[in-house]
Amino acid sequence: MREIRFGLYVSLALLAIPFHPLHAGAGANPGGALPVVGDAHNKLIPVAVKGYDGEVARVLKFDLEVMGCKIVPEGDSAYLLAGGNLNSVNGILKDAAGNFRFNKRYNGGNLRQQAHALSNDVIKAITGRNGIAQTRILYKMKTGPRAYEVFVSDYDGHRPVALTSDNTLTESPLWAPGNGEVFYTSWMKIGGVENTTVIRHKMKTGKRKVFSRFKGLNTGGAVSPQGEVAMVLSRGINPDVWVAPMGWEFLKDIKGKQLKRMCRTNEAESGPAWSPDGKWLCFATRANGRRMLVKVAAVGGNMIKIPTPGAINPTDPAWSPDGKSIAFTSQTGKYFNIFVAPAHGGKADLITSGEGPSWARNNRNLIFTRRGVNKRMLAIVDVPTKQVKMLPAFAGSASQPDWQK
Amino acid sequence: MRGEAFYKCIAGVAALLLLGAGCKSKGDTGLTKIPPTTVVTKTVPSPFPPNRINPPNPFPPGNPFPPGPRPTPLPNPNPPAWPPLTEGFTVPYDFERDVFQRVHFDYDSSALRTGDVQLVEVVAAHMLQNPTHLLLVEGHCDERGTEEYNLSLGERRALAVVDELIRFGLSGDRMHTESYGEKVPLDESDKAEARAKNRRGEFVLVIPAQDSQPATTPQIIPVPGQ
Repeated sequence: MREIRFGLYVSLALLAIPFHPLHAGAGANPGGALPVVGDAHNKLIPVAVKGYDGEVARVLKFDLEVMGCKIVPEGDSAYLLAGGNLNSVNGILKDAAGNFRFNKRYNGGNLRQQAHALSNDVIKAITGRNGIAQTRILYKMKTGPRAYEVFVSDYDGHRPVALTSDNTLTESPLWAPGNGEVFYTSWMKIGGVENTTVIRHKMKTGKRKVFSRFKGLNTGGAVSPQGEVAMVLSRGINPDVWVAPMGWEFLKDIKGKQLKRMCRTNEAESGPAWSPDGKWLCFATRANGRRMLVKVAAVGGNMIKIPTPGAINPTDPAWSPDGKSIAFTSQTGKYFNIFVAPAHGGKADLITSGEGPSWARNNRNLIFTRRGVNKRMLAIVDVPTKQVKMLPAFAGSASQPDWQK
Repeated sequence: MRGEAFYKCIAGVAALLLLGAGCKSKGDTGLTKIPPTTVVTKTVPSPFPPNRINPPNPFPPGNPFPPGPRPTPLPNPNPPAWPPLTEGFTVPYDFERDVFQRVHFDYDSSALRTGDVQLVEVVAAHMLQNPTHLLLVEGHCDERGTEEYNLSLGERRALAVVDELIRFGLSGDRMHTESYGEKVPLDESDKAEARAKNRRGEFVLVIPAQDSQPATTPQIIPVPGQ
């Protein structure tokens, strides 16, 4: 019996897929039904890939490994992807029992983009989840001793395009919902005065606007699905979290009277992150000398602690797109680790070393920063399997990645 | 040998004292009654000089600054202030860095060190003597901390310095803060000294270009009555 020989994956392939159409669980899990049970969710899926060479083979390997597969020789695999990349990419996917899953040929774009499309189709066929191989990321890269620029690239770091050329310090680029706009913090000089400024940047036209330039610190720029913008502003008093209503314009409200103050502390708040429904705002603060994550209702109210037992000094929260979990950075001295905890708080699970996580829309992958020798690099982890893939090194130190929403 | 017996005696007394203290809190429950040990303590002289464990606090409680009136600002009919951030300076200004000594902070702390208060006082004195000058206070961090966290922490540090300057009588309108987080380190080596150097507050004097002249050594205004 081949099911026994190939273990759980094959039995899944034989049993789960035919009897559970891919759309069956869509209500329970927006990412698509997971035709996996028990431990299989946390195990790498062995896939054999044959017939590809050069860049296409490398792209397929990277994509599939990012999304929870491992590339194995043909005899050990639960799935076989066979095809070629002469002129265009094509592929036939079969499971180990020999059952045909699909046969696809791609055109348009370049071979690299076609390979990404094929990876997505493979993942969709195997797991029922949508792939993330065709998404993009935003990050900042060091381009000079006192200069960072914002870049946008494919999720694997290819095709990077600089969004800014301000030759100044830049911080925390973030996508707005819909991905049509990005927000980032810049130290640009206006009228000879250097001050942190939140910039709103339209991706299509490249037009940008000063979104917030109050006295002191202006950073953050996390946009909720309702269009509210959470920022950390000091306004000459103390860094606190403020929320600008939808359609707020700085120049029409220079005194900031329409802003909503989400907390009033003597501590340094940082990293505001919205829940996917926009009803809660999570950020890092400190109470009684201990750093912690808290959440505040979008309508305002008290800070509610999100306990993260097992992870000290939590910062940089990121709420998963399904709303169930929060990824964050835990710091011990000069070492940083990424943890994932339930969104309401609870036992935090160590995922890997690194900092500043951002979720992919599949609720599975996190992109984050890792510190190397004199250089910061981007990496992606598959949370259930904890498999880490480093992105190829950029020319400069890259950090603060944000995954397209 | 005599010394040893002496220390044993001390240790015994200490143990008795501890026991006494430990049981005293339970005394109210009425379960046990320990005979008072105060008689023993009277017979043994303390081997330590009187204030060894609790040396006198050099600062008055609650306020680490010397008492007395603060220097008062010179009368200035048109107090200068930073321009609106949407418009910027209309006249040229010079930015002079490193006129004043930097202040430093402990790891993950935005509290001004008591020893650095004098450095801030020098800045306050200069600002009070030069009413046309403006001040930019920069807050910097070491690389231990995520970038977003350090940005907020640097702002807290700069604001801690500004609060101190306000306490010395300076108007808040003449000062701006700027946090750089960990982005502008002085020393990038992975050493404790380098990190201590990077956790700093810097002063940048903002001088109207026409007033610009060779920087004089700033002096502390003598506090009247001292």
